[in-house]
Amino acid sequence: MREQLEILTAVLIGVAVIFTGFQIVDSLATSYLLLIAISSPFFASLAISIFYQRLGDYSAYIGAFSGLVSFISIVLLIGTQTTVHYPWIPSLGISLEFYIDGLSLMIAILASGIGVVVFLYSKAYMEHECRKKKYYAVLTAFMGSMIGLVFSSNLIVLFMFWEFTSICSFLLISHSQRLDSAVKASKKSLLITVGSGLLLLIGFIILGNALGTFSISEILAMEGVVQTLSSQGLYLPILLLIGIGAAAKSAQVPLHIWLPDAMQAPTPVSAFLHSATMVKAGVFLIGRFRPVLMNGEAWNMLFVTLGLVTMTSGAMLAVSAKKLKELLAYSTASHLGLIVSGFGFSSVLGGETATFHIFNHALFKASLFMVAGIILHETGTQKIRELSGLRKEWPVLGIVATVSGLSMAGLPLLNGFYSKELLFESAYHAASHTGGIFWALPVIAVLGSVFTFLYSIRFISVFYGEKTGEQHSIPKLMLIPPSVLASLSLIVGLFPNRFIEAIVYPALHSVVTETHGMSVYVIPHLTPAFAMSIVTIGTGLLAYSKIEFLHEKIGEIREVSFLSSNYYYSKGLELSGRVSDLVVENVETGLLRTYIIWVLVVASVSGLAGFIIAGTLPSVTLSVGLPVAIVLATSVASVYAVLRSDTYISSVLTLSILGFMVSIFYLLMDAPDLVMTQLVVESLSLIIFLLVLNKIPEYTKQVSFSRKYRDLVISGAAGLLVFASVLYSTSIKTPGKLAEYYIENALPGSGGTNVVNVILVDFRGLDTMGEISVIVMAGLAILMLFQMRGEEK
Amino acid sequence: MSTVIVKQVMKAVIPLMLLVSLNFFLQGHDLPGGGFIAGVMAAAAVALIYIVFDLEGVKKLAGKEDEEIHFVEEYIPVSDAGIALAAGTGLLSTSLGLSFLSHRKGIIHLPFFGEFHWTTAMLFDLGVFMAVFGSLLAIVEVLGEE
Repeated sequence: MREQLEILTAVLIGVAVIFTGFQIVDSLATSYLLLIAISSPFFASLAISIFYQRLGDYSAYIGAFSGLVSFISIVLLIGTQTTVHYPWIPSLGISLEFYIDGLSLMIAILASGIGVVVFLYSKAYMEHECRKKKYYAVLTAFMGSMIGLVFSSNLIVLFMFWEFTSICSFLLISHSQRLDSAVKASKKSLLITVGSGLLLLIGFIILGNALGTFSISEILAMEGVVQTLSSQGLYLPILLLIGIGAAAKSAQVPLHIWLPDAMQAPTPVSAFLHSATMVKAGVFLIGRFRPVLMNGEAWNMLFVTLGLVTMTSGAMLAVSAKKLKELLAYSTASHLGLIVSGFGFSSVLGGETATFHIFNHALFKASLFMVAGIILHETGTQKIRELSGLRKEWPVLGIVATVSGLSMAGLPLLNGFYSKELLFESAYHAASHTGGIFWALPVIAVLGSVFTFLYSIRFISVFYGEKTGEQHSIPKLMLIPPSVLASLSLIVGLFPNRFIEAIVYPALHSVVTETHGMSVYVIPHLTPAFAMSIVTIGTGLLAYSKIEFLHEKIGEIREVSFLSSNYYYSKGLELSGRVSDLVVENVETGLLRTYIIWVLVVASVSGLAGFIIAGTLPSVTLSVGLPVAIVLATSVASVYAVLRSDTYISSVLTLSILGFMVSIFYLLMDAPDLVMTQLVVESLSLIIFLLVLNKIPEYTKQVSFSRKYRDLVISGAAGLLVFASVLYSTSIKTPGKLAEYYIENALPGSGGTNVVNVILVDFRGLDTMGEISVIVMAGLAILMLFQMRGEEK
Repeated sequence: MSTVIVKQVMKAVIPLMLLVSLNFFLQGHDLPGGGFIAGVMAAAAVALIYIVFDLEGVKKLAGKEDEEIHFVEEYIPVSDAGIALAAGTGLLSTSLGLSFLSHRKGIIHLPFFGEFHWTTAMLFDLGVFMAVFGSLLAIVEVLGEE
């Protein structure tokens, strides 16, 4: 069975490769390739969820294959910059629109390419896990939604994919759903990312309405967006709303707290989430809007400050981390801070920093997570203190970790070096151009980098020193993915300009407006930036001897509760829990009368407030004939009798007087159908009441004086609302000829002379259909209630 | 409630109510009436039987004195069938390529009654009747059993 499956998979892959090959030769139509790139992961997700029983662990290969198909399609798209329309609902002029440019291509390449290795790694890593069907299906959808996100050219479509990545990561983080910590972590990530996603949506809606279009490609082509928005006073709100959405997604301080907790996810997920998906969505968004929303002051202040603070504090927290994955999680926040601050600088250098670092960070961080995963998987622990000398048993892994780790530290000849140099250069550039307080920027950048250097070395240190314990050999499938990524880090480090030209430069082109060139020096020149690098590495080496001290000290600072946003998060959660308890206690009492009170109070207060604010109450002109006056007087008298009656029986009987008065009122208003319906319903209610007559307690409970007044006010307000609504709706003279149409067409169209009935069964038949369904549902609900009562007894 | 007088009166009234209900249903298209009101009327008539003759009496009338019958289970299918019939008439028109719930009409000449206007809307109205009748009686029934 296994062998057959293997053959089947091989054949499938072969066919698909040939198919893809044909597509390449046959048609390079951009729209076609893009459609393949976005849809192939979703098809794989569907296939896995349907055929998992047969596929088993081969689902990983399906996922990897779908990633490969996307990757190839995206690579073939390199160099295009265009908008692709797919007609969706042409009659309404709605089309699905995608925008291809350097930035989206770069991140899509990362998402699909790293996706492929993550799936291969998952195959080995998840071997003995359960719930793999859900795992693989969601992971492929995760990849697909990230690719869809970066190509979206409609604010709403982008938001849809944005939330979809949040939901996928929620499902993946809670993979170990029996663990309390995993459930809490996934809830936290969902609350923070989706909550701020809503702010993003508000920002998008304001932006779209202010500019008159929701199409990103049209917005990017506009001139003077900042001026347009500022003149309406909307620039700052939009910047903040979009900024908060992006900051939460990209784990910027103080919204970073979900990211370290997210390491509860299986390691392949962390590797994917931290490198190419999810967190990169936030920085993508900042880059996407940089050319149109950057105006100098506000943009710089927001993102440079946010980025550098996150970079430094993230790096410090990483030094204090006790576990490998925790260290890497804080480090991700820190590196994303670097990217955000890069986007924050207004010079081209800032753009270069951010785009290049998005690329570099993805490579080394995915690799490092996989290394941490292997250590956890094979030794069962990831506590840094308990691990050392792993290099002896696992020389290849040692090299992989060292290359990726030093790249993270920012050492020359490795890819991480170049983007860090660019950050120094842009910080220096900003400082020397503006002066004053801005000289703090290069200092903070260096400080953050020193800590980055420290934790990188701390990570690598588990491979060196004395050997502890026995280790197993690592499965090849697990070792290959990080090795590939580490080699890429090295290759990019040695030949940076090739990659810049092909991938990073087009991305840079999307985030800046000026004309420019971009290249870096492989052999460093003595520039201020290189001097800053030397200072960083030198200080790092000196400080490394004190790393235990720093580790302890920062750990102590972390313990101070009010400094940590986790403190506020849990307080907020507690508070919202208490508020819900309060609501449940007062609203959800299980007593019908409480529900009625709340419904009436809310409806009448908001309804009456609406009428008062709008000031649309029509003037009242009452002209009532004698018959109607008699009917109304009798009704009022019967209501008074209901109030005065001291048993249930008499109040129900007197209430039915009111019902019959209403039907006489209908009669006077020439509505025979209503009269009969009212009469029959009234009779039936009486009959039902007779059925339960002997079960009803005889007396009315004595109610307190204050409660009587409260009820009087509430019912008065409800009555007033109904009165006002009826008055208002009847005062409107409908301009249409709906009633006339019905009357004229009842006989010729449907052969009936009773217009009311013809409307019910013919003209508005669908409404009646819904109504009778409601009647039956209500009947079933009542039955259920009685049955449940019987069971309780 | 169940005095002899009431029982005797009811024996006359209830058939009359059912007749009126039928009349409501049939004339609905042209005069006041229709499936909904006819359903409520018929349900009221049956509910009266329950009140006057009790559950035991109803069983006796049905000739199933000793059996454990749950009438609820008999009524719910009626209302379900009503909805199905109403939706079915809608689907019928859809399957003929017309829009959902569009109706056809015509005239038949019957030997004694003369001209009879028929319309497929009548079937829909029958569905309304059944849905209302079934669910109202189910409610009355559970209340009565309590």
